[in-house]
Amino acid sequence: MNIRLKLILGFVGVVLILIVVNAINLYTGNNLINRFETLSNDDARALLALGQIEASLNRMQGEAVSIALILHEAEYVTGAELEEALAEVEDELIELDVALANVQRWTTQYRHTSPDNALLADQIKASAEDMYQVSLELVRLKQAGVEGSEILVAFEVLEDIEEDVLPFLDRAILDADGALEMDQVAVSATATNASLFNLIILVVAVLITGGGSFVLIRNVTNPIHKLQQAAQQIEAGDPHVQVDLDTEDEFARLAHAFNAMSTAITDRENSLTAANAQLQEANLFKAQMLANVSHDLRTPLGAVLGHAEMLKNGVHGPMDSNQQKFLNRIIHNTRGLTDMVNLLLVQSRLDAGTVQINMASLYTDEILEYADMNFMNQAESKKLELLLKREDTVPDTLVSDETRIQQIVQNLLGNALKFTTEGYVSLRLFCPDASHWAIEVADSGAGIPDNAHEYIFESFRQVDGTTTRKHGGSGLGLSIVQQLVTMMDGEITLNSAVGRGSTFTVTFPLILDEESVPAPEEKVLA
Amino acid sequence: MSKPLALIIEDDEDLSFIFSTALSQANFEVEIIHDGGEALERLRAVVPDLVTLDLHLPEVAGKQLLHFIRGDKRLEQTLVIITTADSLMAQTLNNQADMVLLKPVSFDQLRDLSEKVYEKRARFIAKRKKF
Repeated sequence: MNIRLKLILGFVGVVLILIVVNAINLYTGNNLINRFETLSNDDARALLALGQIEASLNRMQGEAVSIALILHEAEYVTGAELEEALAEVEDELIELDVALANVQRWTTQYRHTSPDNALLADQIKASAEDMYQVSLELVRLKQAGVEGSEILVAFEVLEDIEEDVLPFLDRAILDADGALEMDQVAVSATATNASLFNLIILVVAVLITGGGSFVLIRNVTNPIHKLQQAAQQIEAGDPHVQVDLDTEDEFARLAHAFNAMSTAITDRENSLTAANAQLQEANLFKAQMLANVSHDLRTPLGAVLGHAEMLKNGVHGPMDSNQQKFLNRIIHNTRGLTDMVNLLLVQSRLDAGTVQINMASLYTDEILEYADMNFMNQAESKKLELLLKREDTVPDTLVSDETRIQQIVQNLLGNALKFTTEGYVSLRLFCPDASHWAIEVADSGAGIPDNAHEYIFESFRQVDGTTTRKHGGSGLGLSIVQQLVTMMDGEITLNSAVGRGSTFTVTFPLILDEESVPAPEEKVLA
Repeated sequence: MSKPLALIIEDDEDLSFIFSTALSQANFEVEIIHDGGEALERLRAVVPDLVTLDLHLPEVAGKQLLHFIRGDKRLEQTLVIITTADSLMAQTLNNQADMVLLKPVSFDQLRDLSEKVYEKRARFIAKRKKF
């Protein structure tokens, strides 16, 4: 089910629950009022009727007694006074009628309050009618001049009637009163029940909405959490991640898209890896081919160089100065060609990633000897001074890669000698601080303009076209030096200005040789 | 005193000629050998003071010859200069040789260096004999 649909349903559900709760509340409230009205109306009316009945009965009795007294006094008067007394009796009789009518009316009302009250109502009504008849009988007896015992009897009858009916009446009043109280208790209980019912409904509503919200929240947060974890896994380098959601909502569609993306990334990574492997293979092939080519080039280059040098040295007879000059050109160009072969070979190995750094014990003097062996002749032939120095702070042995150090020195010194026409070229070993050692190659050459400092370490770059033509070279030397220095955790800096020579300083972390032994004398040169 | 003996083990005619000239100029008595088998035979017969050794040789490879020299007590004092066009092989054998020269080897350089190396070795042996 859609999350949107779920949210809408959730909202509708809450609204429905609110409506139901309110409706139930309203219903129970109304019910309570109705019940209160129904119950208390009947019992209150019964109580009222009973009170009226009692009052009317008392009034009837009072009227009857009054009539009897008036008639008793009238025995001793005649003429106008008698007339007046009889008129008074007539009035009292009217009153008696009214009281009886009241009793009849209220008993009828009382009778209607409950079917249970019918018997008592009839009884009271009958008693009242009896009292009325007895009162009439009393008047009739008086008018007929009956005296004494018969009137007394009538009085007693009256009292009997009243005594007969009054206990029932009192009892009924008490009952009605009790019923009213019971009603109040019942209404109060109903009100409590209604409150309790409302509370239960409220709790149920809270539970339903709470449970629904919890499910909805889990429906939203669980997929988000899963997707987040998957994204983090991809970030950590595992693109093969698939998110599995067992729903059919928007998140399932998002997970589907996510999985498609992950698959696409995996495919792309695989094809990149394959392409990379192909490139790597091609690079290795190129390096191998260059190694073979360079090997095959070196032997004839050696022959050209050797023969030219022999001719120049007069091995085959003396050479005049003009011949010497051209032999020098042959030697110079052969060296240039050799340098280029060397550099291309190293660069192709760097590209193929086959250059390894082998850290081992290195005698620092051997660096100077290497420079002496390889560059002294070249310096002498250009009439340049080659100054070699190791500062005392540099230890006799340290840990480094001798072959790479030789390549670095070869390129830096070769460059210095190539670009310096007079003065000196120097190589100095020193320690700039307690944890580093450095090779400094300086010259008194033309210097390098400031704007060239930035790109001079890039492949195939030289200071300018003119220099390139004049000095030849591949423009690879400094780039290779920088790559090797970086591989050995070192750093290369250049300090140079036009007309003030150039100083290249290569700094390496100083690793002392813990198991250093004195240099073996018999191994004269590396 | 006779001249020190140098064996030039090199299959290339041009280079062996150049090396022999350079070493002759450095005052060595020079013998040129063109293949590995012949070189092995010769090394069993004589004790050269210096050997220039090419690594890519017919029959027996230069690497085996180097092992032979380094394993033979008789040839303890023999200086070995590797002359090779194979820069990787040169690196791996650097420790076993007294010197490695990557081709193209300069005539002047070989002449001067062989002289220097031999003199230094001679001085060291002389010093050791004193003790």
